[in-house]
Amino acid sequence: MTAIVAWGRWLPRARLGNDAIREATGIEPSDGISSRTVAHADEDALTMAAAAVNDLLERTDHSRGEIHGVHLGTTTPPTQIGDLTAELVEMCHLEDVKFLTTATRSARAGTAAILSASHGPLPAIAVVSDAIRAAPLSELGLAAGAGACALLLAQEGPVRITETTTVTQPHPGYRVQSPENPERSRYGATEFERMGYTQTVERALQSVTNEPGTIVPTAPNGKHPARLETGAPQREVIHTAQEFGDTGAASAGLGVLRAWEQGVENLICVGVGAGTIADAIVLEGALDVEAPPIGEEISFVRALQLRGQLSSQGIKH
Amino acid sequence: MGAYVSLPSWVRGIQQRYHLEIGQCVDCGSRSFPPTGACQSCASHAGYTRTIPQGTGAVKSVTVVRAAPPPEFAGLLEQIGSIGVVIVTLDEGIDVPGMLTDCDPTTVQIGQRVAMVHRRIYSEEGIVRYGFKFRPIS
Repeated sequence: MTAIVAWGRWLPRARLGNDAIREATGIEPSDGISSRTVAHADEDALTMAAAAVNDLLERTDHSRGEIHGVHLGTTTPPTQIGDLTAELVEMCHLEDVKFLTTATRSARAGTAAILSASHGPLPAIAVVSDAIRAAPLSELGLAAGAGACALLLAQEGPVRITETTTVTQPHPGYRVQSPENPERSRYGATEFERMGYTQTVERALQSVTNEPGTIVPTAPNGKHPARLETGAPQREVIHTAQEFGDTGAASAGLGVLRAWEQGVENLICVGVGAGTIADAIVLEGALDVEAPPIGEEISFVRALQLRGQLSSQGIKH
Repeated sequence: MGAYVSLPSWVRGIQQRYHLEIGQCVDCGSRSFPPTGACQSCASHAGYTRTIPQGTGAVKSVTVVRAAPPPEFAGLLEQIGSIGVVIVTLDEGIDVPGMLTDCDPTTVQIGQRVAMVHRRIYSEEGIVRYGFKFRPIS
């Protein structure tokens, strides 16, 4: 049986609240998000992953030389070519890694990294990191957040992974990004899109033997996860979208940390992204997790500057 | 900061850029950063024993760049307004140069405790150059 024995986290300092968005644009965000983390100008998914791994290694007795697997999940790789996980291994000075994987292209990459870690040589680190970026005034752009989470897996430990499943549910269009249109966008049909999320997650929930009452799903916003509680009052859904915004592949991991912070000991983590596949990971037990540090509020203009979307050349996506 | 660094040169220094790897002279025991060439203390060419420091230290000197940066940092300066450049005395006792991040550099005082983090230094020739910076810690 595989277990989770330690955790690490990295959240950028800057926070963009709804008040700042309303003041600058007149837009009232209505997606269940009240604040978003904004990566610094020199941060990206790789640097945040490194920070989360280093945070994890400071919290565990396992040395860097004992880590045999590293598995990275992100939908925002800073380069299209190149093995990010190898770069991460080098940055974090992990000297005896025998197996590494990189999952991307879907926010489900967050749970894919955990599954890869559980199936490879142990101890292994699953690290999930994203700095979401989309057109500044689009729904996805206004939701964009950033952050990273790292979990250390070993043979035995306080949190047991008791069951894992992966299901497919044909429902493309939840998120759209193509070579012809490299800007991250959504299909735009509200109900169809919502079903792409809820039906895929429900299918994953039904695939496990016993569904725990607490669900920690990938959370691109606050409104779609809330739908999982509709008609199922016995369920509790925990995520961090309200506080950190859309953290993409990192959202499931950050949600697990939030659940442990609240003392939840039995949960099912569901990873979902583009709408065609979902992972379910059942966890029993909890680690001690403290509340994340309080961030620094910034203006909407400052957020665009940090993301590189506003410069003397104008606004770019 | 400043001056074009070719990618091969950058890669040769990756142990220092990623880990702040320092060298201890095998003749006199003095520490050098980077651990290349003659010992800065006794001029010996006998070589170094290489170690990786904790990555924490105190600011010894700070300079704030507000204008006319080297071209590779022009984009960053426009994004964040000012760039802090520091010399940090690591807890292992050696001075290393670096950049500040996650702070307003005009508020950073001599003696401020800092910790190393990995960040994008700049992007050139289509390749992101990663390395260490320092951020304030309490």
